[in-house]
Amino acid sequence: MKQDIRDLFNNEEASKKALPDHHRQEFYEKLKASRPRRTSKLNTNYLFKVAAIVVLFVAFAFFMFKTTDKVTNTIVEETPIETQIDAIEKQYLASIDKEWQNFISITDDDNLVKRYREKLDGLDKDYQDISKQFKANSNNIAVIEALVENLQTRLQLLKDIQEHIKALHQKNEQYETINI
Amino acid sequence: MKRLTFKLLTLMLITSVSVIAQKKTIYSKAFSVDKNTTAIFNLDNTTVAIEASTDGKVHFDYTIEFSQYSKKEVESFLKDIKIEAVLFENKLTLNASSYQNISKVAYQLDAPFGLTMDDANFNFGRANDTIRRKSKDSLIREIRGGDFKNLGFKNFKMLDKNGEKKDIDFKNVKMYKSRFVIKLPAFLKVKIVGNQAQITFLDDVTNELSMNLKKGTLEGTYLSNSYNNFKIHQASFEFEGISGGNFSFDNVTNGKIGSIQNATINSEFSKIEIGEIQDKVSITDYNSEYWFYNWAKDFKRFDLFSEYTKLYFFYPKTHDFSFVAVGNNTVNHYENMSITMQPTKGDEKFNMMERKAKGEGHFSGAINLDMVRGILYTANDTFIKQK
Repeated sequence: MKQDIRDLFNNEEASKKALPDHHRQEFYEKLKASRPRRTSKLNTNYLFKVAAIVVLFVAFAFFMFKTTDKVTNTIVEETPIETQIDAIEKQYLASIDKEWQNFISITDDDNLVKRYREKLDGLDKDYQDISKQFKANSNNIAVIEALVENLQTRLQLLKDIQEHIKALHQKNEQYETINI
Repeated sequence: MKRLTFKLLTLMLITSVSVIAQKKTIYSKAFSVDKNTTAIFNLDNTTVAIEASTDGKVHFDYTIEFSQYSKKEVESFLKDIKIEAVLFENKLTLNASSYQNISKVAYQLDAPFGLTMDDANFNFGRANDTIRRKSKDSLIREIRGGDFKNLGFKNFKMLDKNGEKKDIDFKNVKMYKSRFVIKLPAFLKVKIVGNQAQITFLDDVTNELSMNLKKGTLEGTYLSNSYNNFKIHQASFEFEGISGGNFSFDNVTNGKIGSIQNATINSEFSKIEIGEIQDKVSITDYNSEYWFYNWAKDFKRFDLFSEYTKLYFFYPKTHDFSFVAVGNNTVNHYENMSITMQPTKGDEKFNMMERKAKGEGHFSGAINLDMVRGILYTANDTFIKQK
């Protein structure tokens, strides 16, 4: 049923009613009570999140510290034999490189250079394999000797072939058959 | 109370201390085979000794004896060894491998302050320039004495807590001896694929063998089969005698053959000594070093085809022979003479050296050398190598 809302305010009985004394106060209290309150559950979650971040941060910091510490230790704790092998390796590789340059400067035989390149590459690959074993156990005498032997073989190959080429360039020339 | 503690400690010490010697059986099995059976052995980081079987079966017996190792160390060592043999449809397959190389005898040091190499002893170089004619027997003696060649340690010192070098105390060296014996009946065809393997033939072998070995050692007494096929790469090869077969050597730096007949060798980058060349031998080589010490009474014919080969050649001593060297760009050293046979246009070969048979007494055979860019040392006996 339709009615005009203004008619409701014209009702004298209702307009003559007086408001209770503590109406305003009561109203505020009811309003306050009806507000959605932050529950304690939400607060705990929040705390957990913060705690988790703190724990993760501490763990990460600890991990980073340990890792750095470990790396530092590895460098510091390189055994005497590892240091020696490093030094020997550097020395030999420098000599091998020098002998290689000498070798390619005295030959014009491309096939010979190619075959030596392949041979040296093969030996280098073997060296990398032996190095892995050495890193796993640096006190294994057979492995240490295999490392040094590999370097020696490469150097000796290059020295031998140079000696061979130089011998071929000697000047006592002969074109006729020697009868013995 | 103190006494009880002492007893407990003593007991703990006794149980934890290294066991002096422990012998462990790794594998032991026998297989019945027949003439149609083929055996395939895959050996990785493993040492084997092969001998003749007397009961017609194939036997695998693998033991390792440890000295100064603790039980825990032995267990850890054994965990890395894998071995299995299967006979299926007349094919006997053996797979034997180990994470670390297991040699016949090995030493392991506990060096808490580290090892160091004695620099003075680690130098190397050519032993000397005297080239000696070796008899077949003396080369065979060298081959048999192989076990004493690599005793290790000679280049190493231990460090003490102050970093000072000190000699190795051999009483505290851990040692193991591995013994993996494979017994084979003579009728069995065998294929061996080895990687870093040490293979020894203890008896003369007449089996048909196909061998592919990369790194390691191969040694033995006498190999005899026309169908033998060997491919050896970067390994040591020592045999008292070879009869029949094809041999491929790549980077075989310790090659010793007491005698050879009816065989073909293809080689490169190798060093091979031959005590006596017998009949029907042919060698094709690239950039190796060869020593031909002696010739059989009836070698009949010998051929060498080579490039960049260095050859130490001792003439046959007692009987008549013919000798021809064709090629070019090769140096011949004989006594105090050094002659270079120059390169020719288009690398054409010419008759560089020739010795015709004298026609007196017994004729042993014809030696034919084809050498390009080679170095040939010819001698009747021991000589000093010219530089």
